[in-house]
Amino acid sequence: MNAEEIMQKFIEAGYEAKLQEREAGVRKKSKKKSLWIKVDKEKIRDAIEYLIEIAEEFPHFCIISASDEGKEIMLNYHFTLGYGKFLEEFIVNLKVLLPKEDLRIKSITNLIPAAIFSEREIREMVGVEFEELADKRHLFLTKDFPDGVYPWRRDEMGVKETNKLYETWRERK
Amino acid sequence: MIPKAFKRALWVFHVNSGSCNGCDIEIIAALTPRYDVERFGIRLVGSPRHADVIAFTGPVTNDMVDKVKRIYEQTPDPKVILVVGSCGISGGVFHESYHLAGPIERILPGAKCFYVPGCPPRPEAIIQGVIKAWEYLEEVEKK
Amino acid sequence: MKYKVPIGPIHPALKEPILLKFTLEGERIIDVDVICSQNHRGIEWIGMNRNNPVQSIYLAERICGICNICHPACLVMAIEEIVGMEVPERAQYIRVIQGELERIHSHLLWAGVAAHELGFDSLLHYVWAVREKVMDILELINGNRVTKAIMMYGGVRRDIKKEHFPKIKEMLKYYKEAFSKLAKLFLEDKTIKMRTREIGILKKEDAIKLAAVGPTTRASGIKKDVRQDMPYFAYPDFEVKAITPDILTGETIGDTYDRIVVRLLEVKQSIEIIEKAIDEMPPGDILAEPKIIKLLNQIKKSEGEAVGRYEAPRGEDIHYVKLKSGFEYLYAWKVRAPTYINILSWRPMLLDMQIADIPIVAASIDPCISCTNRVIVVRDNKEEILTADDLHKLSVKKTRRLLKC
Repeated sequence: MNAEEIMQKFIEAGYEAKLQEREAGVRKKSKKKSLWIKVDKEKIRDAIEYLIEIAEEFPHFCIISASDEGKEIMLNYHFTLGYGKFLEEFIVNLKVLLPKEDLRIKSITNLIPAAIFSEREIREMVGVEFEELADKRHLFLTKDFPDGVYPWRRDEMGVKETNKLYETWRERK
Repeated sequence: MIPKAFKRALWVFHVNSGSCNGCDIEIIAALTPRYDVERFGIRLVGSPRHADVIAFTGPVTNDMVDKVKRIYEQTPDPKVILVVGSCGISGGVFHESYHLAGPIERILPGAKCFYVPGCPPRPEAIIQGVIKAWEYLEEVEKK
Repeated sequence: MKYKVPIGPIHPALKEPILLKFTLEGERIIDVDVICSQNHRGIEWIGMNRNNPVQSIYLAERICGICNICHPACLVMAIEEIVGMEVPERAQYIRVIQGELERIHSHLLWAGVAAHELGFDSLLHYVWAVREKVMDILELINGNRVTKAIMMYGGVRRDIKKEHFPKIKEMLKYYKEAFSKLAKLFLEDKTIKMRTREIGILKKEDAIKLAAVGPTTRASGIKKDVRQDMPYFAYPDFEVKAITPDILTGETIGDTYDRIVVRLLEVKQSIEIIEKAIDEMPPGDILAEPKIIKLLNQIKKSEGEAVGRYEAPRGEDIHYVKLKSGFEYLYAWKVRAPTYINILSWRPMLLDMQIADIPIVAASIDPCISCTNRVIVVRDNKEEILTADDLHKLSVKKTRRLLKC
């Protein structure tokens, strides 16, 4: 199945989808296709089950990324389909919007075991609670990093002051 | 000419305190046959208790601060610190980050440090740094 | 070619700062735990809050000192897609050549480290001496051996001039002759075969479920390669095919020996790609927009999001970038290095292995040290903490024992 067919199937199932393309190559050209699909936060497990069902091979999970949009946090789940065949791979991105008052979403590790590191990282960097996640420890930050400080946020919960410890030349005078 | 007050050649213990590995592979490239620092007798050892010089690479992250202090205390005197790369001197490109703990001279006050700037420094520059440390240790040993 | 035999001590600096914690009961390992907080420098935060996009290229280079082109390449790819920049043809070919030169240097570095973990220190010195030829060429065309800084939005910063071509061709000839010798040293040695055949097997189903990338997954028979499936820069012209071990040995088991085979064959493939790229290099400029202030203004006005994927020597590298109009820094940036996801495959690989095999199995996925730091392996019940030094000594002892019989 190529990108247009998967996009058609998602639109029929009720999701909003759009396709982004970019050309590559000098003498022989090829197109790089990315599919962006909007998913509601209650339906994230259904959307991933649907993706596993309609695709020919098991989707390759890449990463979960996040961005702070003011009143909401946007999570993007990045997958690729069509690997292993010449020139047929494309990226599938699922976008989920979470309001900042209710930052909870179900974990997808029962369907995609490879997502465990990614969910731990998003939990410590942005503050999203993943329900039914087995391992809730910090991944990259130290154990004694202060609670309530989330580095990727742009509001009052972000990192406020950075240290000026390296400006030792100020003290020498 | 390096005077022969020191009984044997320098032994170096290498610690990676959160670096990007660029400096680490240049330290190891200094040991390979092209630059071959072993002809001076300088070798890397596996434990800080046998070392004369401790080579630090990388900016010191929050997690590595107590390990750095512990390794410094375990090394017997006389000892010298070799800071390889710009990260340990001034933070390099990472200087204002929430997870770094400051330059080495703040964390280990009173230590004698030799700096090898560069990002990463060439193997020849690292060898020159070790030789300067060696000359200093020879003077200290003479007294 | 002369074979140098320096006899040296064990080099402890090559060890990753890895601490493995075992819980033993019988021989079964059940879980792998990773603590990466020692190397976290807050790079994404710096890119989102403090650096303008051009400074972030130089920051992205220092994520890892060994794979130096892959991280700036992903960032540059993503932003060029958002802004809609046209890159000149000569720049695309130069990017391909730089990427393949880096692949040769990284795989030879890994081959030396693998030989060291098995206890063959003289092989380490030989391979690293062979590697110096490619470092000379990198220095000739870039000015520096490591952290080369040639990527820029819209092209490359330095050209490969005509007077460099004969030296590059000489290096390629040297490597073609050295390749057959390296293949014989690594692949036909009886002890290396005994230490790596049937050790650390990653089955095909596990590799798909755990989303492994790079030579780790190609050695298990899955033909995943970003240069083949979703090519970028000038790769569609080269028609790169993913390499699996049955090309050389005729069968695919998915053990450590297969990973050595895949990496050595990839060095040969890179040599062929560089040769073709040099012969077919088109003339022209190397930068779409040489003035940096105009470039920064162009990036500041654009809006959108994109994903950039690149085939690093260790696997697939992916960056997500989001830009907002009028905002000076990158609005959102996420970096995922290939080792991040390959660590999960340590768990099925280490099941039922002996302790002395752990260094070579752990090193066989080519962990980039700045991504992985501490590993705790939890077995059934009894606890035991071994440092990397002890493990290395156990591994070397096993090789010496096998050499005697």
